[in-house]
Amino acid sequence: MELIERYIYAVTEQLPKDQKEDVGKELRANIEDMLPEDYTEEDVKRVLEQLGNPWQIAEEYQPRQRYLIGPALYSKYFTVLKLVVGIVVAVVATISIIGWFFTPLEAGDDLNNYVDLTVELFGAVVQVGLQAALWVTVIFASIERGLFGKTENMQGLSDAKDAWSVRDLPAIPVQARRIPRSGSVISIIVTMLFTSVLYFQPQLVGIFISRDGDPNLYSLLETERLQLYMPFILILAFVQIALFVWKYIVQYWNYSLLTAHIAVSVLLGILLIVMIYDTALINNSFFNGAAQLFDISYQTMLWQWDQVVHVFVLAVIVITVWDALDAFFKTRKKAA
Amino acid sequence: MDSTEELIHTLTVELKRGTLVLLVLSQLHQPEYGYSLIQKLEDKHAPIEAGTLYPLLRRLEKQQLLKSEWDTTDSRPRKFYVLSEQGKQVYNELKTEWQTLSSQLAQILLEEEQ
Repeated sequence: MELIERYIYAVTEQLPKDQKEDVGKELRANIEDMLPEDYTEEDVKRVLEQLGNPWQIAEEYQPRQRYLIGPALYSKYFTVLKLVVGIVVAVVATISIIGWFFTPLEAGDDLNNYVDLTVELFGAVVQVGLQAALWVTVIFASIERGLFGKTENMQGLSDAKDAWSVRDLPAIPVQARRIPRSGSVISIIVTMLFTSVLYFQPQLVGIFISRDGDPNLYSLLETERLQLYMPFILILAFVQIALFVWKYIVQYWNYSLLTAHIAVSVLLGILLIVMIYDTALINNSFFNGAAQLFDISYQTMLWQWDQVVHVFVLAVIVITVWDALDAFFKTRKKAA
Repeated sequence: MDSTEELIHTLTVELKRGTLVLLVLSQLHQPEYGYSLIQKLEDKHAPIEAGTLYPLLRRLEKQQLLKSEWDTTDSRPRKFYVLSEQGKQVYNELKTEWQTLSSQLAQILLEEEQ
């Protein structure tokens, strides 16, 4: 009887493979038991309706966790999702629009080019928006599944089966250890800005000199060489988002968070220093532009550049160390 | 009015749900298959919905309170369930718990009436 097969299919469809067959066989026997001898289609309908909604029964059979993000994290997930996607989309749109102004229009250009650019803009915005949403979701789903271990101050996440004791009570957070949300938001904006500029419009990093009303752009970075660094930049951006989500959820410094935070900023510092020392990454025309801008010779400019690099490296080191120490002392603060 | 009735219905279902395991375990000293158990409980005026019972039997088996075996001697193969050793032990404990609970509750409700 087709109806019975369809009912069994509806119940067992989502069950794990090893249970599917057995549950189906048992259900079929039970249904047949409930039917009279020489049953009609009406009998089958009556019995199946008596059994009730197959999806509800399937739910009862289902042994696995059937949600991506549970109630404990749900509202935080949505807040972070809106925030990150909003920031990313805004940053990318801004950078693309800025990029338009420096895209030299070629002869014979007309309105159609602007249509193309607009389509491109929407494409880029949708692409990064989806990427950001995907990664935020992946991070939250991992937290939900305990991949990062149990995190402090995440009530409702600890396994209800574990014996609970008073020791498990979360400490009342020390206010001095608080990670201000605004700080996290600003750091995510900076990260996104930095990453998006390098990813979408790397030529924009440079010097603009207006000559006879014509803007001239001397890019700092050699775009092809930059591709070598792109995987690292993207991975770091992703890790930064993960760290941001973590900070956003726990809200207060703790030692594992501190370790991750310092590791990420040291890696970022190393990346920046390696990049600035990579002579193949720096575009030669940039020195021309800079020499013109400051009205000095090309040779002097090269010498000056060395100084700039030293100052930059020093600044990166000082900021990284200062930031790490600041976070460290905040983490160590005791309740007043 | 309607919502009160609905609420009473929901609460009654909840109240009964807690006793389902005990009810099912009590009937499984001899092997039974799904439908035979439904009829048995119906005869005892404690009907249980088929859609609730079948998954419950599997869950109890997974918790090792029940053992199961396919009987293929009949023209129609049937899966028989019976209490395991652990199941018998759990059943006895649960029964005692239930008796204590119900006599306590009866006492409290009686006092309330007076």
